[in-house]
Amino acid sequence: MAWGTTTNHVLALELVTADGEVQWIGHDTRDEPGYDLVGCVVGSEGTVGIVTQALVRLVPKPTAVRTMLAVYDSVRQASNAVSAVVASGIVPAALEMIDKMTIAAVEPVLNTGFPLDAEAVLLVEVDGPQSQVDAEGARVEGILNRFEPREVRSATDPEEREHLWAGRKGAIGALGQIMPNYYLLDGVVPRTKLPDVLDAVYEIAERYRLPVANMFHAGDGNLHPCLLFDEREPGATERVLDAGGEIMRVCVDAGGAITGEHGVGLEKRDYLPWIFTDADMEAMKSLRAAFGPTDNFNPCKIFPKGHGCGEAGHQHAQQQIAKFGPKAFV
Amino acid sequence: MEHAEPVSVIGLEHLTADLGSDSKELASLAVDGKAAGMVLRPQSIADVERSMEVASSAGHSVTPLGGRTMLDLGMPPTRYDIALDLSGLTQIVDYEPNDFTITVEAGMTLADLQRHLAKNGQFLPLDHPHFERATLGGLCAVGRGGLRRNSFGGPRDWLIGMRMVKADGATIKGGGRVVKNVSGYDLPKLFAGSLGTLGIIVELTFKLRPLPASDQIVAIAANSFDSALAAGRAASQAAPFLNGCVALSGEAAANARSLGAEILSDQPALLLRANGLESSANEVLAQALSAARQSGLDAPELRTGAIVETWQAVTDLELQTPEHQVRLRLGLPPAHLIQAQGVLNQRLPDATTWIAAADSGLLFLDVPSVDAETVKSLRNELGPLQGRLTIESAPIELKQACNVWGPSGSGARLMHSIKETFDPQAILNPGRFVDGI
Repeated sequence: MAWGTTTNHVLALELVTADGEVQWIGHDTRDEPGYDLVGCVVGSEGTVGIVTQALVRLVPKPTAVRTMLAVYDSVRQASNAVSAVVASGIVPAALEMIDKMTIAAVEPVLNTGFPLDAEAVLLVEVDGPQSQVDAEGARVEGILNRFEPREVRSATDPEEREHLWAGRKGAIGALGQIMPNYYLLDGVVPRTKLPDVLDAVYEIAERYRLPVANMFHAGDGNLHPCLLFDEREPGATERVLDAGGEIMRVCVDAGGAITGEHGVGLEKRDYLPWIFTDADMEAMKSLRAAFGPTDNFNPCKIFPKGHGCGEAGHQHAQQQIAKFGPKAFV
Repeated sequence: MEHAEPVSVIGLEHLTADLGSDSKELASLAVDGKAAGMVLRPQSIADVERSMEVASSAGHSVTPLGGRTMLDLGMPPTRYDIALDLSGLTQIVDYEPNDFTITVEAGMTLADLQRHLAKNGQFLPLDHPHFERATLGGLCAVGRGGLRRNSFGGPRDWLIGMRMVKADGATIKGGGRVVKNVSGYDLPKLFAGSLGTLGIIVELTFKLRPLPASDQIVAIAANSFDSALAAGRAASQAAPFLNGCVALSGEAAANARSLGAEILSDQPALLLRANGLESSANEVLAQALSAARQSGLDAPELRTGAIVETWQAVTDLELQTPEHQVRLRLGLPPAHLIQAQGVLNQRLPDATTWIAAADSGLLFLDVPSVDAETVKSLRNELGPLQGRLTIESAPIELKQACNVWGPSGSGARLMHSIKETFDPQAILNPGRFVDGI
């Protein structure tokens, strides 16, 4: 969270374009005059070329790290605590939330010590020089304590920290404990909207009779609801996709976007018009065309109704669009 | 000044500024001695759309401008029909302090934005010379990081959304209002640093940072620019989280002092800046100072309370070139800085002002004159050091004799292809950018 996203750290790329040309774009210190081609390629989901090498910026390892765990009896309290940490101006290295369903999945497998009856757990990590970690750690603890946590634990020892993180890092894998399939969403919302949007996510999941596990980058407003289902159950997949679409719509209506880090891909391409106008998308497609013939790399991804793409499975998505409302403008 | 053909824009009379005999205004709009055919002053995004519709259907060229701080940058325009003055677009569109994001119109100045954000203890981590005049649209169109780019990055790193008016008058946008977003292509990255050649930037959304609790600047005088630079390298390696590490020649220090910087004399100097919590700023600064001392700087260290004024004066040096001199800019990996400075010093023995960000590999220098052949040789010698030497400001003859941007890189073909896609008539800032774009 404090370190930014991928695009902030990629300086140059070796790119193979549609005509087979291999070229380096970008520069060690971003001093190559001209358009920011690297900025165009990062996050383009493999649609403009193939990246074969990358030059990235490194930063020194922080000299001190502190990980804090706060346990809450309601998701609302936990998400209010997230908003308060963000608003305080402290920029933690990580600020993650794990909810009850996730705890139920990970705890029996990983024994991380998360209380099974807690509604939500926050993991907050601050890093930097020792004095900063001490001071910011104390402030973060103070904020976490304002929202009536059941407990706040803190670890600076690498082994203890790893133990706290194990529950977050192993969460997706552990979901199989509960149901055989999951659908992982990747919505993003302004951080002040987090508490309301989370409420809506739980409401939608309940309405569709789907268990939902939330584990996500709360500090960035990047939600990852995991809808759990069994694809062998007739109609379950459709129900999951419907619920997923509705959750995406809630994110868009809150001023957010349909993907924070995983990309649009195929399954969300029909939601792109919720955030971009035809003119926006035409401009983006023309950027793609500038890199070469448009259907060479990952055809059909990102944009709705891609040329030369089979329309199978498309009908369902079209119904979704009709159901959740007209085009939005964010 | 070379006068332009008069331009008629039917339907835009209400946006047309009648400059009449305002020769000062006319001169400040000139680009490389070329006068604008006319000036349009849109007051809204709709005005910009209408302006571009009319300009593109008439085939007039358009040069967008804001605070006019960087009009010297780039090649002379091949055509200059309309100056599109965006300084009237100054509204805050959306600001939710607790989200640490803001959306503003492109004509707002950096100084106005910072003043507004400071009320909530926030700021946009970007430096720019003449920040009272420099507009956010303009500095994003130029798109470069400043002397603190090692810790701040550049405009691209803080932009999360952008709205632009295309050459044909259609408004498009990219990104959004959230701090993490990969929905659709990253058009804000493409437009940041495109020098107004792809479209008119009209609205920007930035992510923000909290103002640091403590901010400190220390200066130490040095015997020479070389020793200030060497000490700066040592300091930045010992303290990688410095928020500024600038070596100045005696002339540069004297200039900064005349612009209001405290703690500098007319001697070469190393300026170190650290911020954050007081304890961590102290820690970083102590590490940096100790390394600078070990590298041989032994003058007393001077601290200032005038943080903003001092740093702004140093930042303003980026545009402070004496008349008729040539200002060069070199960007390269910081580890090659000392070697590169040696190369420059040998080829340009009469260089006067030297300014270097020792932590990020950015160097500015002034020379009374330089010929195209020397620039070419320098580029050849600096190439293996990953150095990119550009001409920031120079007499028009030198600009024309050697491309100010340097030889075309491997991405040139892609860049032309992008330009043709977004501006097929080539009416946006024609000729000023890389490789004739």
